[in-house]
Amino acid sequence: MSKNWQVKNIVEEASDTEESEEEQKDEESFEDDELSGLDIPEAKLPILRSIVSKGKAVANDEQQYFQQNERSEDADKLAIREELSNLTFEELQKLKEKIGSKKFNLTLTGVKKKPQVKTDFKRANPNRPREISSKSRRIETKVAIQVPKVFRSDPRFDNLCGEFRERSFYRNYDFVNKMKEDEVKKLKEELQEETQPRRIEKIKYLIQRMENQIRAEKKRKLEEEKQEEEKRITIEALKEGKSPYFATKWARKERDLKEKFESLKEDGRLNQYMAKKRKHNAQRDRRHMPSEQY
Amino acid sequence: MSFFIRKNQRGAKRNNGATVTGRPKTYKEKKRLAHDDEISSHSEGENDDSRVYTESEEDEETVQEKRLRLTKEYIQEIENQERIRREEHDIDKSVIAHRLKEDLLEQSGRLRRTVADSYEKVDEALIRHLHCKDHKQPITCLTISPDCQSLFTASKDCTIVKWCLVDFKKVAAIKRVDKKTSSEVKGHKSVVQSLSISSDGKFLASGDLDNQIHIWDPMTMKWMHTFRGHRAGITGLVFRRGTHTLYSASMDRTVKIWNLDEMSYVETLLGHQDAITSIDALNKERAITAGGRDNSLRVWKIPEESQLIFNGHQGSIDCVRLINEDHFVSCGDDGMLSLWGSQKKKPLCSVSGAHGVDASNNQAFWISSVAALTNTDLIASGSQDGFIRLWKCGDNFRTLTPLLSVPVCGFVNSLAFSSDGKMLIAGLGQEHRLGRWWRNGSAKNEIVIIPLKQRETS
Repeated sequence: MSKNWQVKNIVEEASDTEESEEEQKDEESFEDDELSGLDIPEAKLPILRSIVSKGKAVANDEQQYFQQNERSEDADKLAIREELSNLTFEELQKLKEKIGSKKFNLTLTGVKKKPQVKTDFKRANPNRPREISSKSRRIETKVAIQVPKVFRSDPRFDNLCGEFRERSFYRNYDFVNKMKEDEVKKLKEELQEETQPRRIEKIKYLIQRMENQIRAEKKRKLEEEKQEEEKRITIEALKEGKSPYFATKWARKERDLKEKFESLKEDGRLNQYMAKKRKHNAQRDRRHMPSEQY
Repeated sequence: MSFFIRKNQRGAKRNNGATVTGRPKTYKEKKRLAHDDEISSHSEGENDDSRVYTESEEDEETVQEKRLRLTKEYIQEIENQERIRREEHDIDKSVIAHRLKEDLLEQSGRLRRTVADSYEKVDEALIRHLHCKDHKQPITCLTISPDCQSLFTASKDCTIVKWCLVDFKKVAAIKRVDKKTSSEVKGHKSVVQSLSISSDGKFLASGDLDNQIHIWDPMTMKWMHTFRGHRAGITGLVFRRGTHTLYSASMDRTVKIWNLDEMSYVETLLGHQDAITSIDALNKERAITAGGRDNSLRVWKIPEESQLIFNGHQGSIDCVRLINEDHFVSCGDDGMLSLWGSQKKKPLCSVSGAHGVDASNNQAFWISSVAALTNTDLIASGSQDGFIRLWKCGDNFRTLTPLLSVPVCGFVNSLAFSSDGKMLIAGLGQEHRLGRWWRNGSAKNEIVIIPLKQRETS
């Protein structure tokens, strides 16, 4: 160990920290990164490595660690020193280079950390600079560049968004359907002028999609109208004093079929439709027939 | 003990009884020297070549007696001097006390002198410019040897050059090294951002952005050792005065301490939250570092393993220098120059826009370097506005008043005062030392030596 060759002053250097108490300092707790990258084979330093890994695991709960290992401190030190005595000089050098000569000398001599090192930092007044330990690897909570934390909320479960009402929702956003119809027209015009194949594909896809959506929307509107019609009948009946009219499922189905029949007849596609239906039903019925294999 | 031995006067060469092999003195050799050297009390103005080193505990008794005898002789000496000066027969005790106090402060390196006002305007014709082939790219850092005889500079082309300050010529160079050069030839592979020389002139340390610290012998410019251990580029190096302890600051947010007597790594100091941009130290076992964008300056108390945190500046803090053991100055890319005291967590005095405002983007010019004449009230700051400004710290370091302006062309990447206060050396470049945000084509990559002249006091 070499000392400084500086001329010592009679007057002690003025120190602006208070006198340190004789606190029992945590014994040499090796940092988790200390032994990483060390060239000595794994088998050679079992006790040292176990202390390092223990320190890593209990890094957050220092007090617990301290209480647990108070008694076995000396035993640990003896064990470490025994281990070190078995190492070759070259390996000792490597270990020293890795953990630093200060810690290395402390382990060899077994001296406790000097009373100069203190854990309780209290400043005389709040204008003085803040004092903390220079050895802890924990990152302080204040980060140099602060990113605002984004809070996202699901409107389905958020109380502020209210309850979902289907009819009012569709009524409020009905204007979108009109926009869709306009856009379909524009896209069709664009399609005629477009030359790039990829873009043509995309436009076609979009047109199809939008037309599907428009069709579905119309269907939904029809359904809504029918329901409203039923309600109107019921209300009128009640007004006149008759008993209310509630349609059954079958009645509704029948009515739908009739309407479809009428519309197909007008279009002239009735035969085509019936033929398809017959074919489809035949396919379905064939499933229930016994198989032809004997 | 030590105060009756005159320390060497500023600028004088030191010769401490060199060892046979020229290697650093071990503890035993120093002890032997201590006993062999003749200790004598001096009259004013004589150069002193001897020193007293620390004694061990066994010899304390005899040394105590020696001390006593020599103290008495010294006080007698002072009395005689004062008597001659004042031509009185009775000497006032307080005069002697004052004189002793001054001598003690000077010995320990803590005497503060107010010299800033005595500097007169710089004669631009006497400014010297140093160029060389090895420094084709901007100069990044420089350091002056403690005897003011040589200057070491490093630049972005990974070279280190030694200049002689007597005849202002290049003496030696350490060239750039890459994969092709053999491993025997030592040098730097990437930009050298920091240089430092020990206060006895025995070691020169250089750190680059490739995580390596090379140690050279300043006399012969021969490679001595390489320290590896940092995980990112090294942005600051400083030796503790009077020792062979090296403090290194790096972009991996750690400060590492190295012992050059044993060529070993001692310990690491942790705490910064952003890459460290600058480090400085004086005689105490303390270092101060500037932490870039975490807006903190930290004073590391090494034996106590603690750090003091100072907060200030709005942008990145780029450079910090100690003026004396209790005060320091810092500069940043917000254009602010701040004076600090060790007792207050906020700056004592701040000058914003110290180098003016950039007309092109309406922002204050970044102050890239600052230098302080140790234990005085003189500060110099450099930026890209074309001037090196000298400031005076007044009123117990609570005010900063501009003193002089020296016109220079280019980015002032590094500034240093010579220890005798007679020269101010600046390393200039066409670009900022840390990057290429601007390029000043009309500037030259050179070293500028500004002679400072003090007014004759009556």
